[in-house]
Amino acid sequence: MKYLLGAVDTVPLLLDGLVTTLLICGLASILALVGAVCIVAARRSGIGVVVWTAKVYVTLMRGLPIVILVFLLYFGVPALFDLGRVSALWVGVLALAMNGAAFQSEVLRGAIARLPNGQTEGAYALGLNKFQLWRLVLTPQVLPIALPALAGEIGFLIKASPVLSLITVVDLTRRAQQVTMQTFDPLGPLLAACFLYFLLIGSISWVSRYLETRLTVGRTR
Amino acid sequence: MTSSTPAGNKDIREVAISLDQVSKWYGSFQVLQNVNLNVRVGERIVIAGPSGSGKSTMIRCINWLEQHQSGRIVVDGIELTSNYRNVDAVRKEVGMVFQHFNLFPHLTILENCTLAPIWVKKQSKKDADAVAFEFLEKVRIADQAHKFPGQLSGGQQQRVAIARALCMRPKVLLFDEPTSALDPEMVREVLDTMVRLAEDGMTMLCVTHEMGFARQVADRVIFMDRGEILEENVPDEFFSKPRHERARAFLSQIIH
Ligand SMILES: Nc1ncnc2c1ncn2[C@@H]1O[C@H](COP(=O)(O)OP(=O)(O)OP(=O)(O)O)[C@@H](O)[C@H]1O
Ligand SMILES: [Mg+2]
Repeated sequence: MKYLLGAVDTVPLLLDGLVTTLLICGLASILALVGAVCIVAARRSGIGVVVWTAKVYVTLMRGLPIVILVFLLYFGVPALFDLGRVSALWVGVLALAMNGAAFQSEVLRGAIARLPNGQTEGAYALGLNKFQLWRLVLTPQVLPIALPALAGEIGFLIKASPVLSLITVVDLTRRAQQVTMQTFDPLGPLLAACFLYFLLIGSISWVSRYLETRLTVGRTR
Repeated sequence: MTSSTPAGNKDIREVAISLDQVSKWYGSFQVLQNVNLNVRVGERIVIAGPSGSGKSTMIRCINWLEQHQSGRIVVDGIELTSNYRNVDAVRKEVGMVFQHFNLFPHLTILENCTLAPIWVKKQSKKDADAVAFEFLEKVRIADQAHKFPGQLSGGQQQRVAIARALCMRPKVLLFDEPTSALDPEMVREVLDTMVRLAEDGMTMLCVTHEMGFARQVADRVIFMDRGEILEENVPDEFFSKPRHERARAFLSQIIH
């Protein structure tokens, strides 16, 4: 009970950490989605080298522990190119986005594969061009299929973000540790952080479910 | 023009589609072998032949869903080449109805019908809606306009697909086995719709094994096998005394 009260009391102390986590994960998710679309486009381009590069990228990202990627970007790359100190925050955004793009591209690919047959030829036969096909016919159908899994990927990304505390980013997790050190309370701040992570990830899946029903309203398959 | 056009007095009509020595390969397999075909404005042609004979491939070449590799295809005076402007121009003139309807499940019936007129022909939504209702009336399904395709029966969906194609006011309609994915009790309503289109003078190319339909509306039946057109004949003769032996074999199969 004492610990729970302590946890509630420490929530305000963690808010700046929460803001940092939100900022990094928000930006990274958006960049990841853009990257994922590019990867899917590359894999569908039919141009040998481009397809191959995209595949290799996805395989690498899926196999690489995210800590290693973060260290490579924060320590390795600046040393290699003599860049001096780089912003830990932006490295964090980039690392999560690079990783997320690979996973999200797989989600999109899977969703595209589940579209009903004949949509493309139906659209082309009506005279739509490729851009209109994607904008008006395929994407509106892909999104509701992909949404739950995309939300899951964003959840993973949030859960991976504490790794950035290893490179001096003061995110929610790091902030909780700091408060622990200041208050000598080993549990309260961590419980508070748990609560905030749950809230964050829970609200994302809630939003995705809401959007999913909005997007599929009225139609039966 | 081939000499086998049965109704010689129609020959003055202008040519809507002409295929001249058209060939196509999938790898080393030749799907189309020097296909020659002229379709005149207002003509109704039924294409028959065994499975895998290249019927779908041939009509899909006419709106460039498949690309031929040699020969010439000219639609309404526009030659199909890899020039995208020509392809777009041809697709505006040619509508297509598919075996599995290919309606857009995320759009209502009305939106299915207005999508292309709005985006391809740049019609206003109001005009497009008006045209869509006109054709939905014609296929007798206007009362379902605000439903989604998944809420309609197969026969209704196919009629919507026909209306959707008509909304672009095509000069030619291609049908690829429009009734073969339907439950038997729904075949009639789709065929009736097609007969009415034929009566209105629409130029039609139909891949179908519906012999009743062929007898009722077709000017010519084209028999294809192994990528070749083996026989062109008037329906009555084609069905009662086909000239080609493979056509006889084919007919004896589909009659039973
Ligand atoms: N994309 C493709 N790649 C390779 N072969 C193909 C492809 N599409 C079709 N074929 C082959 O080309 C031949 C002709 O196919 P097509 O679909 O035109 O036949 P069809 O006369 O319409 O047959 P069905 O009555 O079964 O619809 C078939 O042998 C088919 O296996
Ligand atoms: Mg076919």
